[in-house]
This record gives sequence, C-alpha cells and structure tokens, in this order.
Amino acid sequence: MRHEANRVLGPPPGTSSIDFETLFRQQFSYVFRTLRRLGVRPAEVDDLVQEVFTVVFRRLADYDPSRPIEPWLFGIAFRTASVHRRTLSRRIVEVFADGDDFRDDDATGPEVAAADRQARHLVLEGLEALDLDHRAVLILHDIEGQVVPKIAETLGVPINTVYSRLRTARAKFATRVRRLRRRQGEEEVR
Amino acid sequence: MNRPAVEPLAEDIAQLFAAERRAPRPSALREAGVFARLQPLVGVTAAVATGVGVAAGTSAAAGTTTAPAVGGGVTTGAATGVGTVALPASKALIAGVALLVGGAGLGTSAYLTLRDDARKGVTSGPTREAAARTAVSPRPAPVVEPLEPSASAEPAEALPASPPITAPRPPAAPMGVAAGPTRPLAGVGSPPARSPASATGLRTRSPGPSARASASAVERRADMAAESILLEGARRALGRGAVDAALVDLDKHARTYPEGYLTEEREVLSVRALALAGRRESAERRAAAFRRTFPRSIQLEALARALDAKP
Repeated sequence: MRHEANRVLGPPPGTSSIDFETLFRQQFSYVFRTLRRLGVRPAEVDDLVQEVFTVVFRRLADYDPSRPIEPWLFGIAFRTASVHRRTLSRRIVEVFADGDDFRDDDATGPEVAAADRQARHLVLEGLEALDLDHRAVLILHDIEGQVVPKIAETLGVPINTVYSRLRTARAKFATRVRRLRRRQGEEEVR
Repeated sequence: MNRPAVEPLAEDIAQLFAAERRAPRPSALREAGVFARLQPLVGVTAAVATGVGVAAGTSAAAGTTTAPAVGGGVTTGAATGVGTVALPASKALIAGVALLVGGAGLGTSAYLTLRDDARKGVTSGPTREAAARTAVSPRPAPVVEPLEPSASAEPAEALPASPPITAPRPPAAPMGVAAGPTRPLAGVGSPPARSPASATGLRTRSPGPSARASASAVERRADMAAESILLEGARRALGRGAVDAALVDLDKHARTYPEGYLTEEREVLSVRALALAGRRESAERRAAAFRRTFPRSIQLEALARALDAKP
C-alpha cells in the first residue's frame, strides 16, 4: 500500500515532481476553498495555499493512500489556518469592504449565477460567527457531508465533542446568516 | 446509542451550503501563480529557483509567513528593480524571468494547459526528472519585505502614458523584455486591433489540446508562466491595498506582453487598480476599450465589478 502511494504520489527524494504537480492540480481547488471556509482572507489565501502545499510536499511520504486524501489535506489546512490566525490575521488590513472581486474567489463568468455567488458569500460571512474548531466541524459535516466519526478522527477529538460543536456551530451560523439577511432586506426570516 | 442524533438542516441553510458546494474552481491565473511560487520547492535548479524568487517576490510579501526558497538577497534586488519602471533598473527581474523560462515556467503553464486533464488523473506533462533530481528542499526563509516602490509616485501616471509603440509579441518573452517598451492595451482609448488568431491565443481557460510538444509550445508555456507571475504580483498588491505597486506590475506586463496570453486578466486588474486609485476617468476609458476589444470576454462581469471598486 505504502509503496504504491509513493509510486503514485511521489514524496521527495529522487522521485518525480510531476506527481506532486498532479496532486496540486487535483487538490488546489479543495485546499483553496477549505482555507477560505476556515476564514482565511482573500488577500492572504494564496500564501496559505502555498504553505499547505509546502507541507504536503514534505509529508507526502506520511500520507496513507488507502484513505481519502481530503481529510489529510483538511488537517494540514486546519493547522496552517490555526497558526496563521494566531500570528498574522490581525495585521492584515481589510482593504476591500465587501462583495468585490477579491472576496469572490472564482473565475466567474456570466454563467455563474449571481444568486449562487451571493449564497457563497453569505456562507463565508456566516462562518465568521464561529471559532476555528466550530468552523471545522460545520464545514466537514454540513458542507463536505462527512460523517461524525470520520470528523472526530480528522480533528482528533472525541465523537461527542463533534456532536456538541456541530450543534453550537449550526445555531450560531444560522443566527448570523439570518441576521445578515434581515439586514440585507431580504425577508427571509426563519 | 447515547449519541445525540444530527438533525436535518433548515431548508434555507441547506440551500446555502449547497451553493457553497457548487463553488467553481478558483481562477487559473491564481492557481498558476501559487504553483509558480512552489517551483523552488518541487524541483528546479537553484538558478531557476532564484528566478522564481525574484518574480514571485516582487510585490507579494506582505502577510507572508513562509515563502519557500525566496533568496533574501535576490528578493531585495527584485524589490528595487520592480520599484523602478525604467527598463535598465528592472534588469534583475528580467534576469529572473529569463531563468524562469529555463524550467519553472514549464511546470507552471504545462499545468495551465493540462489543467482540465487533471480531473481525469492525467499525469502527462513536460518531463522534468532532471530538475526534480536536483530538487532543493529549502527551509522557509523569512521574506524580505519589499519596500513600497519609491519610484511609484509616478507609475500611476506611467500606465496610460506609455509610449504608443506596437510590437509583435516577442517570440521568447524574456528576450523580448529587453527589446523595448510597447503599448499597453487601452491607455489612449483606441484599442489596438487584434487579430482573431491572437484573440484566441489569449484564452487561458480554454487552452486547447494539450500535447503541442513543439518548441513554440515550450516558449508559449514559459511566457504564460512569466506573465502569470507578474499579474499575480499585481493582484496580490491590490489585495493588500498597494495600488501603486500593482500598477507598476501591470504596466510592466503591458509593456512586456502587449498581446500576452493574459491580456484580458491584466486589463481587468488595471481597471480595478485605476478605480481604486480614484482615477475614475482612466478606469472608464480603459474598460470601454476592453469592451470594444473583447466584446465576448468571459471577464466582462469581472470588469464591471472592477469598475465599481471604490478608492
């Protein structure tokens, strides 16, 4: 198993970097989106994506290929975001007030529905109500659709902790989102 | 059994999450930019890595915690080079990009080209085993934060005032850089005529069949990598509010790649930069030129938003 992973994903010494490149191509979007969901600002996200993939590159040998790669990446992204939050985030000036290009991260074309974009924006805003631990649970459970035991494993916390965080996270998220909506004048209370 | 069951989500919240799951991929430009910055790590010769460091470090350092293998001294040099629009002073950058073409560029834009194949797990790409073997695995070095370009009192003006010289797209970008200034797309309100062929060539998001293994394809890839690094620098500068620094990068891109692959992206960034700088009229003029030149661009929506940016 392990050696097969090395063949496919190729950790550092003496192996082709093409494999890492493939991994990067396949997972860039996931890592990017995960970091944004974890509250990393648009102006900082590229740096952190780079950081995550730097760690990925160095730890490729640790990855067990018999398991899905996303939780592993999520763990790395989570730790990166966590360290970043403690050290840097306050330094970054919020340059753009809201709703502009740099908050909206995708290569948007006319085909991307404005409503969808607005909804995604609201999700990121709503997540702002949560600390990192609660965010992580909500992201993994309600956005990624993972089951609680897996989440517990990914985050290294007891299952019951996941349940309780999920409850709290949902409540806070919903409260904030509905408040934002009210403020936007959308009559979508409840 | 004593576990609490997870209740179903409220409908309105569930819909939000569904939209979030549908989030499109981030832009190819962004992806290429990050990948370029990873090049020193994933296996390029030291010289090429330096090149990447130079280019990537131009205006990108604020808020960076770790940036692998950005050679400190070189970064400083780049900061100076970029701060000055004058060509001689930017030799450091040119040299950097030239080195970049040697290898780092291949991966970057090969990946741009092959991006769509990635989902299918295609592993083809330029072989870089040799480079991989000499892989440097540097520790994250503290990034020397580039000074805000001191010469950037002018660049805001320099952008539209660039000499109106049209030149064909240089066959090999870095060499072309030294050849002389060329005209940015929309500075004077009369957009340069653009042949349909070159217009198609601009499309980074539909890069066409992947396996064009000719010399020109290699050049093309190298160009794209170098371009994306410049624009990435501009984009990040804008992200942290350094409008002048962004304009320097954008101007440099416009001069170096008047008909580059990422021209549309550059123009949208330029419009945003001008709008953020409060130069409403220039932004409008440039946007109008964009619409004339690229009436069917996928960037039109982004352009509208760029134009809305408030200082």
